[in-house]
Amino acid sequence: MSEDNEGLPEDVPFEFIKPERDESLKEKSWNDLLGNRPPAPPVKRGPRGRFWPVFLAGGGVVLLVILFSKGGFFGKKTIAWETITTGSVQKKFLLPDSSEIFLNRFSEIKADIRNWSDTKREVWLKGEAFFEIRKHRSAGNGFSNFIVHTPRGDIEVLATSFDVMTDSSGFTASLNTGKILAHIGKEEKVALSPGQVLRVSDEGISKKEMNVQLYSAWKEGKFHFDHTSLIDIVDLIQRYYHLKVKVGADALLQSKKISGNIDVADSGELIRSLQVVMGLHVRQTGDSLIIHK
Amino acid sequence: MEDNRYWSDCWNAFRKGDEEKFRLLHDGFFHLLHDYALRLLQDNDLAYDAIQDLFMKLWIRRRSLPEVQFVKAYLLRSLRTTMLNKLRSLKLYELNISLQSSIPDIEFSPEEIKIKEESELLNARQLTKMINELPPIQKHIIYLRFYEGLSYKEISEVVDMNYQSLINTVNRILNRVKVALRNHPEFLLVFLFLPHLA
Repeated sequence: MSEDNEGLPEDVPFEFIKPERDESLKEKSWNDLLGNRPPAPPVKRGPRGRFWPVFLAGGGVVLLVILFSKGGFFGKKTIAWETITTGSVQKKFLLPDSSEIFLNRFSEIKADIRNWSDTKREVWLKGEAFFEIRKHRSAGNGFSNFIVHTPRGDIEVLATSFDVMTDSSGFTASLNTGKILAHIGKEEKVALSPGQVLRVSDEGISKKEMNVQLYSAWKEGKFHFDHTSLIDIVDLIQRYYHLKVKVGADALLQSKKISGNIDVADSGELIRSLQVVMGLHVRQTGDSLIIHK
Repeated sequence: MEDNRYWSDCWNAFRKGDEEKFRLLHDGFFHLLHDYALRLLQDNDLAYDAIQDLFMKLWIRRRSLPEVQFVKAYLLRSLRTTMLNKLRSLKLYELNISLQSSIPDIEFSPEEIKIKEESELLNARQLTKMINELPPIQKHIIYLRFYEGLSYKEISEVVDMNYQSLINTVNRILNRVKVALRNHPEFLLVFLFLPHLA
């Protein structure tokens, strides 16, 4: 394209050699786009769609945006589950009301986003996520709640920032700001204030004052352990580093626990702390980890 | 000009929802955009995701996209914005990407530069070094002009630089290279060795 280059510096003493272009990558890109692209909105059935999620394909996905466009939604109610799963990279995404969710690695969050509305904001979580929920005034009746469902109970929110992590036996919720209400089973309700951590597990329900910043430390690349048991760490290793872990019965029986912060970028650091702090033998072969006493 | 007109017609049809044209745009610019993303991000996955991200956003926002004269420049520019946002969000996660400046730096390797007339004074490796040591924005221009073959008008759209200063900049860089190639070994020496002293 030299249409507008007359009299311009063109006597170039060097040139670049370009590599062969990978046509299959172009094909893959188009197919991924087709696969992930939201359907065209139904044009004639009333006003345009409320929002369409943007999904980025591929391994290193980082930013997800759920867009919000103006106008009402078509009348028909359809269940449209959107599941967002993280692999080895955590994701941050924005909800239509500009609330933010940081989804930790190897976690999953589900939302019925077609029916997302001012009065109904709820997500289902497996794994760990940090929420920064904006206060959202619903039409007419006060503020609308935001609900995080976990297998062991639900957390109800007004406007707040908090961390929820589900694991083998229950969940841990820590509150940074605002107020949340946890519904456990059918009867039990526990309110949390900033600085409190709620632990719901097979061992029961406990609430304590903690340094909650540490619970969401993974957002900035650190794990926080506070008397964390081997079972939970194994669970974490499996979820976070996608390693298969075999634990010898002798190791499981021991009762030492780990406390402290560990850099998430490096599984080695976590493994070393298992060796040093818990006095365990850890052997890694390929993508599996064998732990014994 | 025809090339530009073709793409800008294509663009307008796409804005009205023509899927065929969307594919033409994707296929027509994929390699250009991917090269650029890879050059800046230096990571295959990130580069690929940036392209996906860009096209996904284009598709979703197609009806509110502006009319553009230089589609190529508009896409490169949008891609850069997409990548900068991406890098900003990555920053949170402490990935091993250096983020000293808002414009990620471009690096060339000696294997991809060929000197047209062999010169005893300057080989490809030295020339590469010389180019790599230019300020990021100048490398950006070199890349867009001589690697991707954009016109100066297009480049001025991508890098937000006035047309005339852009041309002056390129002339200055080329002159430096020519001086080094020809008969000013002392200049070359200064050029090559100063960075070591710094």
